[in-house]
Amino acid sequence: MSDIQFIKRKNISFAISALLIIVSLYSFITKGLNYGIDFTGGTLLHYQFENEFENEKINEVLEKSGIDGSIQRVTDGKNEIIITTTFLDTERKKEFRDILRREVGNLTEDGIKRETDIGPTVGRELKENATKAVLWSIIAILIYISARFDFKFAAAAIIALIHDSIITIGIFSILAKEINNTMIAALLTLLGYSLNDTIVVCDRIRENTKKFKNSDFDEMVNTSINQSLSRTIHTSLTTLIPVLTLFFFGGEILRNFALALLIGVLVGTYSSIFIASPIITIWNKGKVR
Amino acid sequence: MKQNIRFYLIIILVIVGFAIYTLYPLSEKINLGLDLKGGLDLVFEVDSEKLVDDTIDMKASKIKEILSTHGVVDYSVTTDLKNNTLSVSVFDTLEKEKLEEIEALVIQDDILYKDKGNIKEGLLMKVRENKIREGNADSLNQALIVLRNRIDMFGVTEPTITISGKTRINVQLPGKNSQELAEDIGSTAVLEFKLLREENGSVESVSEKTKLGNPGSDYKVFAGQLNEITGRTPFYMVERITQMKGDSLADARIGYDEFGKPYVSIAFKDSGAKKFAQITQNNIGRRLAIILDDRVMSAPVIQDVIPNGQAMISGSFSEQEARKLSMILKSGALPVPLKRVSEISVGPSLGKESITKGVYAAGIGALLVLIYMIFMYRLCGFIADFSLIMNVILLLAGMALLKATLTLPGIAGIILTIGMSVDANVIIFERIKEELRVGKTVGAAIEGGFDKAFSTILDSNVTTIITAIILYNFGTGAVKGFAVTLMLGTAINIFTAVFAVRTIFSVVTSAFNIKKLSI
Repeated sequence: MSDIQFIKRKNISFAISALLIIVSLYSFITKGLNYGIDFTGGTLLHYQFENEFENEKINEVLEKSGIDGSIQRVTDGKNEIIITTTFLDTERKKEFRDILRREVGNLTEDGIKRETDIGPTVGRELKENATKAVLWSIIAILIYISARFDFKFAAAAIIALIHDSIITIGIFSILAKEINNTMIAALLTLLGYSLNDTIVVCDRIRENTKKFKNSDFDEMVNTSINQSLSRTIHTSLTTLIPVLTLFFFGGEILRNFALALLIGVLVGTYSSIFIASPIITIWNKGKVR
Repeated sequence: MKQNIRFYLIIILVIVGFAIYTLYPLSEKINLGLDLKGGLDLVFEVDSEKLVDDTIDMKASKIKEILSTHGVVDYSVTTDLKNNTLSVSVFDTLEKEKLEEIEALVIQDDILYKDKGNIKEGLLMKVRENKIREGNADSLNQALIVLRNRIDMFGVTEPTITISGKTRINVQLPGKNSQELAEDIGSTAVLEFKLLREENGSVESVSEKTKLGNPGSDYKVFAGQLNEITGRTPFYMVERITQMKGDSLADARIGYDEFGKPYVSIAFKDSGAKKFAQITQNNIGRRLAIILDDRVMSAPVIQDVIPNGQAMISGSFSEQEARKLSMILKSGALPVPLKRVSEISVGPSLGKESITKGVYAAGIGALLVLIYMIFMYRLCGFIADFSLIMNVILLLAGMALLKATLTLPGIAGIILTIGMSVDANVIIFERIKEELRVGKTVGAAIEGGFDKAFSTILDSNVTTIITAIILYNFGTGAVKGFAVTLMLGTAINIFTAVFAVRTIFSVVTSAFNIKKLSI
């Protein structure tokens, strides 16, 4: 068994986290988030042309048609492009497609890979639902952990969760990656994952509390972390392996999803050891043992 | 104990056998989402603004009818669609009692209520918008039936049509679908017959529209169909009062005139036929506009009485358009106007690519995890690998049994499950290692390892399931698919880790009388 002083050096990890959170919040406030059309409403067109073309050409067409939009080249596709615009109705979409055919190149029926229109009201609702989902999960988990463990564990787990969400969203803000519906799913999953990690450590602490009644609490928490450390590393790795394959081989649509999970697994593993456990010890000090 | 192990082993084999049987053949048993097989996903929402406007217009017609049946000649009924109000004034000099009686009749309404004033000086009425919305649930169910009929008539196979929330209908059409189909399915298809103004009832193009003058409170301007030859759109000045609605059609079919031009012939049911005969009789020589969803299809002159309830809608449409129109009319009008609020269309090629990439990523991911486990835990790694494979098989079988839909995020969910499912095994193995380190025998170490790992496995998986359930409740479409795989995967995980793996451990240790565990 390893013997690393996690608790004694908690100031280092707290400083690192504080820095990460400040950077995340700063980016969140100044840069904001790059919401996808799922949340803002709009139109997404994913086309594959039969011939090569310059991105400039598409931008020209957009400008000429007076459509406000942005483009993203599909890196692992051939002549594929994703155009995101404000909400276009069927007629305007058809018109735009015709202009593209004239100006850019041949676009067959098969080349029309994906077209998505989301009305603004639907977008707003999706956003509300996503927020509700995150909040309700936190509440439900708080209740479950309080019932199964102790409130101090629940509080520590939730603080770790909030820590993870802020940093993950912050990184997405810094990288200007798109936040869409699937991203919320990824965020919730990594909350579940991070929690999973925290619980494994908490479970050890709970067990050891019964076993070593007279030992120092901090010492005991530190032992617990060390005892579950190899498990934490193994599980993080076995989860990271498929997430990485998903990132590299899963295709354009799932890449952001995999990225969120990747960040989430790393941050989640880190937080359960370096944030959640020390918080339990701090919380515990405030009380009579 | 030996007896028990044999029994447990049989249970496991039966479950796995049944799962494999459920999955055969795989391509038919797993229900793919539209994002994987390609198709069109539409969300329609009750157009409440239009619904309120339509209701106010309808109420105005009704009030006019009340007034004229009570002998009122000089009156005005005006609507204000911006503020959703309606005002009524009677200018005839009538006795006070008579006026009050009429006012009482006008006010007696389930949707309108008196705001202020009186019928002599101007009675302002407001709309109870919540009342209109209350009727939505029924209308939505009826609308769903109409949509289903239309989709069936257009020959789309395996559509999924569901009501979501209080005001929405979700339509999923698999396969290759043109977007025009989306428009046709969702058209309200309200057919109305209104008389044109006798003088100056129509103009030939939009530039002449001003010649029609101010419609006032009794008339309304409607656009006609684009004339393909002249390239111009005519406009019509039409009475606000609807003579008749097309909701009592017995039939609608395509026909051809003497020049081979297609038209749509409609036939009213008995009661409708009688009413139609009366209208045509009273208005010989006038032009009757046939209006579909606020667009004038044609405005023929009434030549003679039409007693049999047969009418013809001719316009500048192709054969295909005429056929579509006849189908839409036959399926009936939607009870409420709908608007499309979201539309997702995925081409079949993208779906196939996504599956290939997803399966590829899952395969590589799984293979690497399998190798990792053997490398780290030797013999026990094989047991973990067995449980991992069992997990995936059971997860797929569970999805097939529940008829759950596999979406692209769902595949991601499976990949994630692969990683997380070995977690339970890792927890158990690490515990067994600890027990062995303390000096326990192999049997006791396994026993102790499982016992101590159980609460950890349970707590960590239950919290994941909680998140998945909440995600399922608040998520939409593809995200729901992800939640399902995560939920099922985690639940199955508890079973395989705690029950199956333990049984296999017992089998292996008892069969070979192992003294030293390769872990």
